[in-house]
Amino acid sequence: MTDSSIPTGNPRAGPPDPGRHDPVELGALALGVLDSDRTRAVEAHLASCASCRRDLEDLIAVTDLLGEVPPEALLDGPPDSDLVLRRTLRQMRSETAARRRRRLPRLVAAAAAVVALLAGGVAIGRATAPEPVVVTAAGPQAGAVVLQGEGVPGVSMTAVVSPAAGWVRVSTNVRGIRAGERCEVVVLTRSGLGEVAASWLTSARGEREGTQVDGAAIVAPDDVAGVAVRSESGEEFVVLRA
Amino acid sequence: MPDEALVHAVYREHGRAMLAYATRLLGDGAAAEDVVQEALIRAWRHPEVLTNGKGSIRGWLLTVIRNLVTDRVRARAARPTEVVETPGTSAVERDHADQVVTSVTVLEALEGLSDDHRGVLDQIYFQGRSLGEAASVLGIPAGTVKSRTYYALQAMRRSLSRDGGLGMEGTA
Repeated sequence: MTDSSIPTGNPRAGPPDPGRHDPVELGALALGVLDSDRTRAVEAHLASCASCRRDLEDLIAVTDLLGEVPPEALLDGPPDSDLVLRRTLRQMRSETAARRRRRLPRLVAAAAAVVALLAGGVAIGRATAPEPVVVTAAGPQAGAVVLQGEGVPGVSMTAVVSPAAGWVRVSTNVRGIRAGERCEVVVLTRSGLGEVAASWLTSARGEREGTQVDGAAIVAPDDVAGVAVRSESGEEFVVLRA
Repeated sequence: MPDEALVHAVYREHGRAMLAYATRLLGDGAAAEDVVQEALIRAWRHPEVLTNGKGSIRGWLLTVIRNLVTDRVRARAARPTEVVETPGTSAVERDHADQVVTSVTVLEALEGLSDDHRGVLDQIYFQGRSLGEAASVLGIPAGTVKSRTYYALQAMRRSLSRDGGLGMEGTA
């Protein structure tokens, strides 16, 4: 979203006396950071402009709501120490050890199958995205690659692969896989191996509206050949090549 | 293991926010670490919450932390005297629940902003900086900070009006 895309079509954005007052100053005024000269000028304008007064009231209501968000909510990244992560992983492993061990990442299915699926159409870009792709709060990464396309009939995926130092984050939105499937997002390497980046259980809603699945995999960014989604039993639903 | 990758990803992206929030609420670093660990375990047991593509993952995580903290504080308070729950305490809890719903909704709206827009609100509102200070931190002109705050608040307003339920109806 760019600044210039916002005010279009908002009849209140233009005050009746252009040139005397810039509506963008209402934001700074609502946040209490407009300097005193400009505050006086804007307040003088507000006395005679009902639409700007309404605008300001709305913006102040928004700033009040910002107070509901704990300030920590905007901190990004991991804590300084991995202590809690290591403890959590230990607890997970000890709980998992009591159950069935999950399989390790396997070889991807035969190349022929991959080619057959690719015939369904692979596009780079998001021109045909039915809905905007939601990337998680950390924001887009430099050098991210967006893959989009179809798999078996009815299944589509958008995948954002973001490089890190020796590994990648992958953020996918997958639609059309029937509810109840146990699925994995697999990052494919150039040598034909696959590294599981995430797994999930599809829901009826996810089948209809798409499921956002984020993960990460230890695959060097320049070794990423594509992203696939398959069932735990190895059925390929969609393969997108980078 | 894919499960571990998920928890790794959550920790890498949200760990700092989770731990800082729990530490402030509890005022106790060791207890905060326990709570964050429990929240991560819940995320592991309920990956569908993290991957359903709806709502704010961070909002869910912080809500779990808040609930765990509330449980702890209540357990700590109840331990000495086995106090029976009174109407007074449940009213407090209801207010608390409303506040959590509101903060998650507002957080979703914040996360829906562009990085540029979220950045100026972070600087000005959450960090308490002036237009000039925010401009030098962000490396952009003060006039740009000023206009971005306006467009960011407008975008928040639209988003919150669309979601409804926060007293923002009819203002878009």
